[in-house]
Amino acid sequence: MSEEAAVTTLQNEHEMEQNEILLLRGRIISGMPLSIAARKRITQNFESMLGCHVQMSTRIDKKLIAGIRVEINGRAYDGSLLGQLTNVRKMLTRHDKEEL
Amino acid sequence: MTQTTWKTVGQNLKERLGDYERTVDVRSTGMVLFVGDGILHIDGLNDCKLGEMIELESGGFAIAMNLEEKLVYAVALGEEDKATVGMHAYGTGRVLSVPCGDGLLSHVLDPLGMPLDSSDRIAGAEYRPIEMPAPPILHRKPVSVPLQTGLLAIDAMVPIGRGQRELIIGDRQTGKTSIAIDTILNQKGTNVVCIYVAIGQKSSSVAQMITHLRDAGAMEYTTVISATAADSATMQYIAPYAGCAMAEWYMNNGRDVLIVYDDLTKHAIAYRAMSLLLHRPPGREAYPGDVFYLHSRLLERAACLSDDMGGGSMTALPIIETQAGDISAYIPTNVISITDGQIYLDTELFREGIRPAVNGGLSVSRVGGAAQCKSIRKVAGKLRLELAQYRELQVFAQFASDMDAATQDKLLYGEKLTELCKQRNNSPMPLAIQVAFLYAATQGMLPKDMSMKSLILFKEGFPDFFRINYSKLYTALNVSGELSHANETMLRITIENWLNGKGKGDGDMDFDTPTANCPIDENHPAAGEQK
Repeated sequence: MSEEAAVTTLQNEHEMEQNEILLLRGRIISGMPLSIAARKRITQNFESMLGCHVQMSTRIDKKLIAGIRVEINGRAYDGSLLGQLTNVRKMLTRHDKEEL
Repeated sequence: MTQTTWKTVGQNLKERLGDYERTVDVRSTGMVLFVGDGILHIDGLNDCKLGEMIELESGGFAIAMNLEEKLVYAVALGEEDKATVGMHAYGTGRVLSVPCGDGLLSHVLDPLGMPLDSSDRIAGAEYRPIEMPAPPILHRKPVSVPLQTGLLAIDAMVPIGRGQRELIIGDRQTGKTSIAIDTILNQKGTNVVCIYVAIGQKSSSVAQMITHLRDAGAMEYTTVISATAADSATMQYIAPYAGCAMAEWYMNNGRDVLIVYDDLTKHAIAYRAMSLLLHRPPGREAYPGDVFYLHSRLLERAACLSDDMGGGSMTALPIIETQAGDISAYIPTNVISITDGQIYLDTELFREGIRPAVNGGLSVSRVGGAAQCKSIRKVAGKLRLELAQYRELQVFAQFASDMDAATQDKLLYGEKLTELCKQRNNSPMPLAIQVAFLYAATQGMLPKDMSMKSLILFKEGFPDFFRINYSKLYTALNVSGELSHANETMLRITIENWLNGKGKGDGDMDFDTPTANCPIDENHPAAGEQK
């Protein structure tokens, strides 16, 4: 699913809830320390996506190598390099279209 | 590596990654709060569905079994020791699927489709979910094609057809698995694919069985799914469904498949253990309330499909182990009510040396004669009744001192029938020999004063004699499955020749005309049929 499609899906899903949910807490996991500006930009993007206030905590996980993974409202948005490499590994080692 | 090799490697990588897109992976997520006995309690996963595959941060997988307001109860698959508290879990949006296809034949697999007999992963033609709805009514047709087990007692008294579910039930060590294995061995050369699902058995028993199948050349058309007693309750729970999914692939592609579930008692026990750990309320004998549905949804997937749907079939042989011969217990009665008949193996008969220990009185095939070859049906029509009468007279004879001649004749006749129905393990009997034995017995061709020793010599010597000296008739009976008038006459001559030859007492045979002069009419209608 592309990011735009994910945003559209989320907007549709949370449209009904935006009047009920005032604050969502999430977490930004990054491979390297994030600047304050980057953290602020990510928070604002998620606020516009989810339609409510968002409070993010941060954590550094070097396993991600680079990029970020955001966990909020029961979903994980993985844009990290580790996630990309995992997808590449799955594509290289798959035998069929579907597998465990 | 040379430049050309690197170039080839690069091209291969491009092909494999041709449709790769850099995307943000969006998945529902949760956190593992509890791990114990293969059960995971996961917080989150708000949109998780029942039966959904959950991927753990460690790379392992689990299946969502209970959905509660705040928690998801999942059962771990495979390596449970890698799951830890605080680990993230992600929804996959998929249900558990297994590989299917011809590539699975001759392999031993675990319930997830991973090979146990080689390191190379097997590529299936496709992946099918283990839970699928059964074929609807309008996609089915009545069972009409026999599935020969090679066991005289079963093919004559309790015939099985392709697409039927026939339960094999009995106490421990009564020959249940032997019947299933002999049936698999007898499918050689019949284009019937066989799948054997071992649930909760000893690894040594499974290994022995696989070796035996391999030595007999049966593994070429057989797949073994193994979830032994050392495997978790979850793996034992999904094993029959995985086997069924693999069998369905053959059925949906117009082929005939035989699947053996050995045994469903242990399957129910594994499901009970899993359900109790999931805090599901226990019912009768501590089984969960849906233990009937556990087996009914499995066995209903065995069917004979209509010609419009490809004409394939799945024949199921579930096995149930009873305790002290009690077929009125909970699980046995459940499965008896689901299946299209049962083969009841009696411990007493087994101890008396009557093997296979089929109790003709308690065994039944609800498909009956429709699933029987015409030749067998013609010669074995009253076999079950005659054996039942013999068993009754046998009890009477233990107390009576003087019996009339008719009763004595019946007893002798019953003894001969019982002896003919005995069969060695792993020795499936071809159809022609079954017809010959039953014809000899039911048409009164065996002398009344024939000793047991002579009868055993007949059983052991006649098959080769028949196959070698009357090969055309032998082949005709095996292939056509019908006993025409001409073939019947020739069969009578064949049996008489053998009996007369043995009657000389010196072991030398004096045969009649050679094979080339045997008037075999393969197209002549059977006696009694309209021309």
